[in-house]
Amino acid sequence: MGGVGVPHRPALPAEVARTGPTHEAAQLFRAVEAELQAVQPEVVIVFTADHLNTFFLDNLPLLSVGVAETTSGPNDGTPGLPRYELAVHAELAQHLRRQGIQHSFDLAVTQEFEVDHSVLVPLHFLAPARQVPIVPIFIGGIVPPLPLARRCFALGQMLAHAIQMWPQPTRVALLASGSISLDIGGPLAPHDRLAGPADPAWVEEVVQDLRRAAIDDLLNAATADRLARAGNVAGELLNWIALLGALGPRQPALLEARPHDGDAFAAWRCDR
Amino acid sequence: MSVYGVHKLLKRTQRDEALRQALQDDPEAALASFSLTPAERSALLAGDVLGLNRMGVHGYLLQTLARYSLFGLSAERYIARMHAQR
Repeated sequence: MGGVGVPHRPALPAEVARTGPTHEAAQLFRAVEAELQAVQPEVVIVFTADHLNTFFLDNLPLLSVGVAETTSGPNDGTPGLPRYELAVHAELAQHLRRQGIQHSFDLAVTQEFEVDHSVLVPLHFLAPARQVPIVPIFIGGIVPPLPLARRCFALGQMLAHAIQMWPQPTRVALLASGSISLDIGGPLAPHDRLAGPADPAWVEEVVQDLRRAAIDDLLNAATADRLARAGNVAGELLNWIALLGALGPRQPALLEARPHDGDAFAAWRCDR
Repeated sequence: MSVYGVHKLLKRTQRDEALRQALQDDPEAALASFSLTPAERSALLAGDVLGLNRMGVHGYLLQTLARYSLFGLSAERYIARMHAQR
């Protein structure tokens, strides 16, 4: 098992296509990709925050699992992304949901869905993750009230346990998708842009906690108020927190913070 | 106030080119079929993005207005209004 955390800013594919492989984010994606390749994953569990594209406010699950044979996208017209058709590991997804419900996580389900840039930007840059089936775990980190950080951490712990209960030994990689501080179209974005980091200091704090594997500090700090001050999509950090729950306390093998962009790239190696 | 009607309008605007054109041609008429409160309707027509944000409209959907230059908004005007002090 291994885990990675990356941003999914929708402008990245087009920016990298223009700039080429020297683009800072492209280089960091390549470093993360090497870590992912080392895991040789047979399935990738993706913690993601749908941006009201797969779900909408007429029916909005807080925590849900995509249980299907396939998915595709982007369903939000992300510039620079080709149309992707992806395999989903339906059996494992169903197992994880069943285990979750047995452990008091009332996980919603979608059996027919497309995915947006929050899944496909990471997969666009991380070939090993799109060449194997995925299991999407949707965490409602965009529309308040958000799920609690400790709840998302416990979700990750439960999923790690459920993966161990899976009868076939399977190499699993976990991917957390999202920024740490980002405000889109709101008053906390930098004053010269529609979208950008609201709180670079929060990125530094989170990354320090990640570096020290100081999970309790992070969980204590990541209150609803604190996340709200870090921007209107800063709840994407909950994807990272779920990943940490699954990985357990360990220091990252790779961790690059980019406070100026409100994000970070990270990878953790596990023996089990 | 749920601002659900505004969110629904913004989501449809992202996906419906004919609606975008209608909102360009005659904003008031194009809004007529949407379930909006008087305050939501007038804030939209005025391009009052800060007011809409304070009513609870999510920036991620609201920025659609800047992207498609609706209700007299450009990206620059959207940003200036969103950061106006009042």
